[in-house]
Amino acid sequence: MRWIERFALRAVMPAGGALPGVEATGLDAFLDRFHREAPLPFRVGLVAGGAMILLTPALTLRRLVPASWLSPEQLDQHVQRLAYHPIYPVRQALFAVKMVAGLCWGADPTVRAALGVAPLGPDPGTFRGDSSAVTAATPGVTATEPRGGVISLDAFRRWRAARR
Amino acid sequence: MPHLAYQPGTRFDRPVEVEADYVVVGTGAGGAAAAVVLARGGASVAMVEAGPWRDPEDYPASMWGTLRDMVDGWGLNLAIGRALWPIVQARLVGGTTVINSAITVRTPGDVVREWRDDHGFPGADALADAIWAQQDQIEDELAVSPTPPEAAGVSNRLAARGGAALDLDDHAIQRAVRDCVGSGACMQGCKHERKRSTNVTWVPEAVAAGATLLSCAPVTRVLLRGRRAVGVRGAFVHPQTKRRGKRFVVRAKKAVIIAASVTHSSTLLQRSGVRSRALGRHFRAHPGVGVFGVYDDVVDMNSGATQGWASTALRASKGLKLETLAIPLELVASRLGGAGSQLLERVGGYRHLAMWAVAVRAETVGRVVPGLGGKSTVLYDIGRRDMERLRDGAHTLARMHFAAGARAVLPGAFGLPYSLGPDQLGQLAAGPTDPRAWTAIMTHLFGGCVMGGDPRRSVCDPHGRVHGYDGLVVADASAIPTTLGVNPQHTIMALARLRAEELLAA
Repeated sequence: MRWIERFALRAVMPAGGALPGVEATGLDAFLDRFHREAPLPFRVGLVAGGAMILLTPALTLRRLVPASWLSPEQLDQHVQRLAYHPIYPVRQALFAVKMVAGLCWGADPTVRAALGVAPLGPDPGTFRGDSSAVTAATPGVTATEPRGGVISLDAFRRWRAARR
Repeated sequence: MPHLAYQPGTRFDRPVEVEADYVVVGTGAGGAAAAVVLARGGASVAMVEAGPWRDPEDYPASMWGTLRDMVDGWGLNLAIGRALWPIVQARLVGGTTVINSAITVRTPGDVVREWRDDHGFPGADALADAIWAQQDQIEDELAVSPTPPEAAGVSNRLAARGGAALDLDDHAIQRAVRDCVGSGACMQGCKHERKRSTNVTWVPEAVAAGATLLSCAPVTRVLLRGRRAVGVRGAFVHPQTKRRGKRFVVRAKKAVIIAASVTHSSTLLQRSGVRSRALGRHFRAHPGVGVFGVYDDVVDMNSGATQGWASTALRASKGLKLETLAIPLELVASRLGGAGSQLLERVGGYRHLAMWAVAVRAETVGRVVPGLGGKSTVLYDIGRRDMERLRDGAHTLARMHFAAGARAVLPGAFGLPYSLGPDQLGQLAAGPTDPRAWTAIMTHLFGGCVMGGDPRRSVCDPHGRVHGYDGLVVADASAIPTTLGVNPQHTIMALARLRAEELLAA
């Protein structure tokens, strides 16, 4: 799967122009993060989009070969035609790949420097934890302190019976 | 305990139990507005929020971080019709007020009259006065002010120039932002603590007044005893790992207020066994598209207020609202047409692009239905008339861009050239109306638990009380029975505060 993902992302944002391609933007580290953090539909979308790019040169170039066999110029032409394909799901699949590529490429400090755009700060990923403990004086609000541990099997069976 | 965040554990652990006079589900525009009024009124309040509590120091910088930490479903929630259009909402304490532009627009009087005439609301004038009185207070509390010129940025200034040239009766957007610094990062949350989102205003105030907040706590059921709402239950979910933690039960001595957003409130009530023919129905929205202008000079649309200029001149005649909208480089890269070397060449001109957007007060009606895994699905197939108006709005934006000095516009519609010059606007005017041709987003959602006088056609009465149930009130945009034609945050907040005052007075 990683191979299809890298292939697809490189195809939509290739190296060779005035700006670095997505390959030069820490793509492996991005894909590690992607697999670690992205939800399943996102990951499936990237693989599906990649498979679509890989398997459809017949739609764009009338060549019945996988896109990995195309020359760089042919691959470039292939993805450009997919981006403007009359079949909506094809365009949407390509858009999904572009979106993932953009999230990687557009955040890269080298790319941003090349464009004259300020680098991004960190994504802390933090959130607020519990505040201070319950006080009995809190008017009108009662809360049980969350208790640790697991209840007994007998208690579980009673709870399950009560739910039926 | 004022704030309970994710509680690790299993379903077999004893649940966390909280009891309060009022339980408020959701802490966005509606939930936080209701909660703070109830707390100020001396009631005990428990707020239950599905997402985590993030303060400005926790906010992300990148779009990846924003999708991961702020946006509900990673932005993959879609309105499904012939086209698939993303629904962008937040899922954290503060709700979408954290990631929107805090645009504050008063409820139009014609909308309230429409509620009276078509939806059985009595006393439209008195209701409008009550809403506007609340909005006076909100504007004072949230430091609502026009986008300051020094924070506007080039894109907003160009839009002002273009709007003036077309006589669009435009204005600097009023926003709940104090002393905006023009960082252009509203979507990622305001790290400069200038945006008065509810997580930095009303939620902390409610907690300081004695309210309890459960975060990372998605509600799965409203607890009913017969026809009376007596609380809610769910299980904590870790915001990153999605691991389920302990269960929780939050009991309401007086009422449960539902403000879980349009995409969640109706399905929550459905799953809880609330019976209403209108649940999930009458979904409406303001779908929007954007048009880029290409300028010779540097624009740097992400320097300056994300959204600082607007026009409602076409609201009455065409149901259109025009606004600036800066999107970050990571999204521009995918938003521009093409792929491969062609795309990279185009995105190289990023700094010379200004994006302006149009939202249509769509007549199309959709539905919110329960989906898999506790999620909701929005079914919405925009009609031809709405698409024609949206296209006309894009045409107006293009004219504005040229009036402001653009050398080209990028309409972003399949079937049109990538770039249009000023003498090619006729192609846009005659452009496609198939929604699949346009890259659009669903902004400003309404309905699913609409208010109205007729229980057969509405879920709630005109006071947000669910028909046939006691102690169950809806206080978010899902209760609004029509579109507004303007940004809804101000209306949502005002109605929620009215609901809270009515509960206190009962």
